[in-house]
Amino acid sequence: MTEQHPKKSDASRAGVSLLVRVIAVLLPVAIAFDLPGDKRLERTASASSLLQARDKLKDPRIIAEGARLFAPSCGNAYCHGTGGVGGGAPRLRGKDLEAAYVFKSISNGIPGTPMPSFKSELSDEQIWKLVAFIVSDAKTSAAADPLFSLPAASSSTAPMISAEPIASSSIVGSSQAGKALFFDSSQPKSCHACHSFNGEGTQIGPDLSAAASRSPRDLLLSIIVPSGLKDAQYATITVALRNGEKVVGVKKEEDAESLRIYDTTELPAVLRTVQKADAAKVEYVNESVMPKDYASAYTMKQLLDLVTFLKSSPQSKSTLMLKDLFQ
Amino acid sequence: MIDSKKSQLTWAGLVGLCFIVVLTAFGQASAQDGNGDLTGERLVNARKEPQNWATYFGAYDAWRYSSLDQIRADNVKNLVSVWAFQTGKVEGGLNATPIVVDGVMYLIASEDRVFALNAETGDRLWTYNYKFPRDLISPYGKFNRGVAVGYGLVFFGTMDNHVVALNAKSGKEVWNVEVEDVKKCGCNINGAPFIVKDKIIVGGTGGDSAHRGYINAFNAKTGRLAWRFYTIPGPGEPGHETWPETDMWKYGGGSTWLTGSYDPTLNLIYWGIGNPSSDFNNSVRPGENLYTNCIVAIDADTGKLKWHYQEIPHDAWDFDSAYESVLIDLTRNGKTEKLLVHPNKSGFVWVLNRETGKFINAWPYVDTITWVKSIDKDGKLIGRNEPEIGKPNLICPNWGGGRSWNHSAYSPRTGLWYNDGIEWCANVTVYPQEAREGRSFVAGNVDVKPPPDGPIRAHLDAFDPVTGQKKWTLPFKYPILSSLLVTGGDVLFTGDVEGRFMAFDAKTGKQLWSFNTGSGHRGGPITYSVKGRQFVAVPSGLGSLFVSGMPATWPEAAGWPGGSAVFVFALPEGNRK
Repeated sequence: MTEQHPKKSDASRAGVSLLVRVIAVLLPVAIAFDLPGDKRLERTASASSLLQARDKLKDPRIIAEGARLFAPSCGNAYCHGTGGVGGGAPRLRGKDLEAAYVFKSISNGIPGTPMPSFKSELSDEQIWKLVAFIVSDAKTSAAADPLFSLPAASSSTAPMISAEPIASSSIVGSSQAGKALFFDSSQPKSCHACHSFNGEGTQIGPDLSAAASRSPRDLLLSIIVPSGLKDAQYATITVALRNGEKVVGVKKEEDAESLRIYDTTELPAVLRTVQKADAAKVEYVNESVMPKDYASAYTMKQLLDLVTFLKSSPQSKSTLMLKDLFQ
Repeated sequence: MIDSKKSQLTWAGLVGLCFIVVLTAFGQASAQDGNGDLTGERLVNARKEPQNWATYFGAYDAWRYSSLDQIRADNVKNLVSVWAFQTGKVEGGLNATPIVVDGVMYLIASEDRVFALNAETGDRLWTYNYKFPRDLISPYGKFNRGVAVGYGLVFFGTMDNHVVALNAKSGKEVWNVEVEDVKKCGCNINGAPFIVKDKIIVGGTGGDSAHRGYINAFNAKTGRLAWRFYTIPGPGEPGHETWPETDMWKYGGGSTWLTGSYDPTLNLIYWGIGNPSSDFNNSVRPGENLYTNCIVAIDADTGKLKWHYQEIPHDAWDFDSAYESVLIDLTRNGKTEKLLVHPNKSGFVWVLNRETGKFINAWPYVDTITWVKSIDKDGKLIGRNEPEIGKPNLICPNWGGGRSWNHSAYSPRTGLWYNDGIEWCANVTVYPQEAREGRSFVAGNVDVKPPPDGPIRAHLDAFDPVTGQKKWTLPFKYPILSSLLVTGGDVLFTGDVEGRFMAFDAKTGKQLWSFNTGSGHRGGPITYSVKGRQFVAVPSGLGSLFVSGMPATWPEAAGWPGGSAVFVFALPEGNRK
């Protein structure tokens, strides 16, 4: 298991610049993953930030800062263990790992393994500090020491999930609160159980990434009066089975022998494979299977938050007031 | 086969055929029927069908016991290897307990590959390869602990948090439900589901990330959610007051990563709930943190809580209560008491009355315990030794547990409860960490250390399950990571991490037989019979979170080979009695 990580080659020791190697590693990654253009730009930008990082990899201060970051992000018992000597995940220190490989692995994660991506929670600079520590020879025990100088102030009892303060006026929508509602995992009947947004969630109903182009009023009505259908693909299918059962939901796909249907009777929806031989009757109705009680399940403020979230995009933060929902 | 030809048979012929089938090979006929007749009602009486290993623990009581007695302490030395099956991928090892029903073995291997095998010959009947997203980050690894079988279906949970039902005859998918987006929740399903009445009950991981745990019950035939029990009460529910007035209740863990037990006469499902998160920093969640580290008793029809017992309130050590709940009826002073015997990661066994949840006893199954001084007669923890931010603290047993999740066994014949133990400690360092939904939320590091009185060591023991009185003990160099199996022939089976599958005299602990399968043991050995011949099957193949952490403590473990195969043994054909 430990042999598969690339190690420093003789060529690298001979002085091939780190930056060149990083670009060589990262660009093919961007291409292989077929990232959209803007993301590829981001990657190149992160590679260019390495120019400054290059000399800092050996800076004892940077290494110490990396050690400090390592403890909470990587060093826990389930992961790489104190000082990176191995916990549930492989040993990292003292293995002669290549810096660019380590950066890429932290940033993107390693698919197919438990190693997650950290690019959403750590800046490139922080990741480089981690890299500096991981590839350094700093002693493990010394590496653990900076832990104890952590300021006690950061041990806040409140989890810092929400960076955006809830708006002081209750009639202004909060996209952060709307996002939390959309992805609320504390109840099965939550938007993301059927819809996706920017690649997250489930694709049983329409993807809502492009919802920002719709008017607030249109979005509100789609939530509280969802019977109208824009796309026949999401029509309600009802299959009466020969054994008396009825399967109601949205068709996913069909072949000669079977129908694959998202049964939405209860959420989360169940993808059922129904043999056509077992079906007595198949009916389609041009109506949505979406639950029709969101007008009573959510408060007005929650509906405003949801619409505000759907109207927001990485490019623009939209500010919505309650009155906007009715225009 | 019988169904398709029914119309062509005369009634007399049909009756005659059935008669022959019943007499000669009842199991074979059912197998070809896809086990459609294996219902929740039939599973209640699993003990009356010792030819099968029909549920994850063998039966609802979680004994890991079979009454089969063709293989006994006095002839087990004659066991020979009968067949082996290679799953084909060694990464993740083989952690599963196979299920055998009516002559067919159902097995799940890493990456959620499911196989149906002829349990007598090892011939493969079908293979199902689960398609999970290629970019999946698997939170705990690629292994799976087992399937459930019934209603003509094979059920399992997946790495990306789906529950799937396959047609038991064809291996084709019948229903598939995504419980929660794995990318959002940081949780997955690697424990075995189990069938109770018409429902399939499934737990999940997520106790070491910011997540709110739950147990789900799905209608076995349709996959529709029947009920969900959240392990952390929401606003307005009793127990919510044991969490701070922040969003911590949404991120407080309480995972349900193993498999529950069931008492049909009380209609209660028992489930051990995992640790609260963040695991080591309990200052972010003042309060008892219900129902983490609890045994919960849940009404099987409604999912409503009947009672709970919290073993470790406000946990600071990652001492899950997730391990098996062993249901034992004990007659003392002329009165039969319905007990629940529950080993905890913390090195203690809790004994409760399973009708009321009343505390009866807590006793240590390892020698080295420093996280608490004692547990008093009412179950109260005396002298808690909590790690604190900025102050590393020697905690015994180590975070990995007084033992790992691999399960114990109980024999009603010897009255003994068999279990393994590890003597080890760790320097625990706590640090502050903020909750991010679905992301790791452990807030502590551990440095494995030997106990104060000697080197790290392990043992296999036989106890009185209620008093904890030790009847025999065997020393081992490395932890036992295979589940135990005990039989009506008074043989105790288990495997070690170096590949030896071993048989012991259940009464004395004397080793009687051993066979090296070539890779360490991390799954659940079982026994079953086909056409009157008793078989013992053992999964072989190291791999799991615990195993990948072993080289930090035992450097030589880095060289132990992986594997993923089932080995099956029996007495030689002419030597059955």
